[in-house]
Amino acid sequence: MIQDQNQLLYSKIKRGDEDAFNHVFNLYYSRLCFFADHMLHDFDLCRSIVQDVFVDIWINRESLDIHFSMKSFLFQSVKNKAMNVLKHRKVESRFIDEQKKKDEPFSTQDLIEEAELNDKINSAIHELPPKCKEIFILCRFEELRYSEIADRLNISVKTVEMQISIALKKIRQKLIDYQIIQLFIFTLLRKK
Amino acid sequence: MESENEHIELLISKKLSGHATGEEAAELEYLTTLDPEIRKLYETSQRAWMNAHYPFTPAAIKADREKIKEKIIKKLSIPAKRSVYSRFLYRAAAGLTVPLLIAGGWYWGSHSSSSSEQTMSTITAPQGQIAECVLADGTHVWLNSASTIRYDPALAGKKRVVHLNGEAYFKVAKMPDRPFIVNTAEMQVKVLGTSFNVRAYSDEDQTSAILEEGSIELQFESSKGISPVKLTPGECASFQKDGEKLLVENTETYLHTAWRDGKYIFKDADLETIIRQLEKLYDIHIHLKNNSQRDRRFRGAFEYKKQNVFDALETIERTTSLKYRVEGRNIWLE
Repeated sequence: MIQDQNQLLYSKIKRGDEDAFNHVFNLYYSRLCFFADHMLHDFDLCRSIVQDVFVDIWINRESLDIHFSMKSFLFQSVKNKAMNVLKHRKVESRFIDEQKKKDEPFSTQDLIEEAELNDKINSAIHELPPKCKEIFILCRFEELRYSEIADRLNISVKTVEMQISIALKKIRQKLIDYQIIQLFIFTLLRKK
Repeated sequence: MESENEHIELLISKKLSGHATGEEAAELEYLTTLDPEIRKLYETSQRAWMNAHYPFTPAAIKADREKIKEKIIKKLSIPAKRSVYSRFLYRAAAGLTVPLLIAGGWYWGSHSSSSSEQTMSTITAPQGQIAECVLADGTHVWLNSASTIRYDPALAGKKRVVHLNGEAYFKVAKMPDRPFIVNTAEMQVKVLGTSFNVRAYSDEDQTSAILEEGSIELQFESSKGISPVKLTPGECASFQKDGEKLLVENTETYLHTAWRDGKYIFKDADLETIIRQLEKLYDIHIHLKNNSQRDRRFRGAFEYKKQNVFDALETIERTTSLKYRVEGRNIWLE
């Protein structure tokens, strides 16, 4: 079913259907950026290379030849671009070192799963109530102390504490829903 | 029960954000060993906390979708075909000039002129268009709107000479023993292998050269009494036609070469300069009736492939007190 839908999108894009292209963009863009970021650790650069992958797909759409799914094609293309950047950087990046240590080609599948998790958390953060979201971002990403956040927003430390715990609870809830779905798909596949 | 849950949630979030006191951390640890449910709660929270990436906002994602559109337009309008065709044609037609299409607007023709001159090739970018071509020696030339180059198609001889009227960007193929020379009405640019921009419109008060990489030398007719000047990358030399003076200064080269990407970038430009630019781009005449804005300086960018002249005029209206009125190809700003 999922495969069929993908096939449909792919042939629509081949025919120059911009809605199908937009659909694929909305479905995968942020995930692909997170995915690349696990390799490059430079988010702006990642956005740029993922954009380039979409540019190439559209420009070469007529000669597009996708053997598996749209999804694996996208992730593989982004990975290739990211690996090129790493080669270009010449400096042995931390990532490549880690790869060598592991003594096995790093698993695209693992990175895809991590990226999907990042993406899920990202949308969960954006679904938080505005104030709650603001406080969570200040704490988690700006790394401000509770007291600093309280000062900045002119609220009590107690409120900050409460909001952070509410944010975390809501994000976790989204994650649990997601894991249930994942588990569900997993069992389905195993039954086959 | 309610408040006990709340208490555990607080402990978890404090622990993860590094705000838990020693006592609180110990309590949480005790609770997680005691109750597998609480342990699971803590572990899922930890996953959420650790895997949270700096927010990628829906607005940023939307902006990136636009960016993709821009990149596609840019790629389709300039380089895609060049890489294939230029090499192929260049080899196939060795010794001939190979003009290439961009955005649909160039024409060329070789015209044999008066007996004294050998057969010269001419490439012109019409008003509002950019033309791009590869010369027989592999030199890449981008011609800006309303600009013409004229040259011997074989580029034979000790020097490779190109005559320019207007503005062009050159990426010169390296040939140390055969200097490349750009001749303009006012000055000569001598090159060994490098990238630079020359602006020499006959209807403007100055002629300028901007060097992006490599080195170039500017030469003037002996009557002007200016000795040759060597530029280093990042420098802009402008020759004032009326006072016959040369000014060399450091510049942001992209300001001068952005036109190749279909953009004009203004930085501290006066209205007069902007208006002259719009006239060149759109083949129109703009009459500035009121000079009160003469001393104001503007900065901004204008993408003329995507925006039309009215977008530009409206921006001028918004930032100045001037209003525009259109009569055919004449536009009055007052």
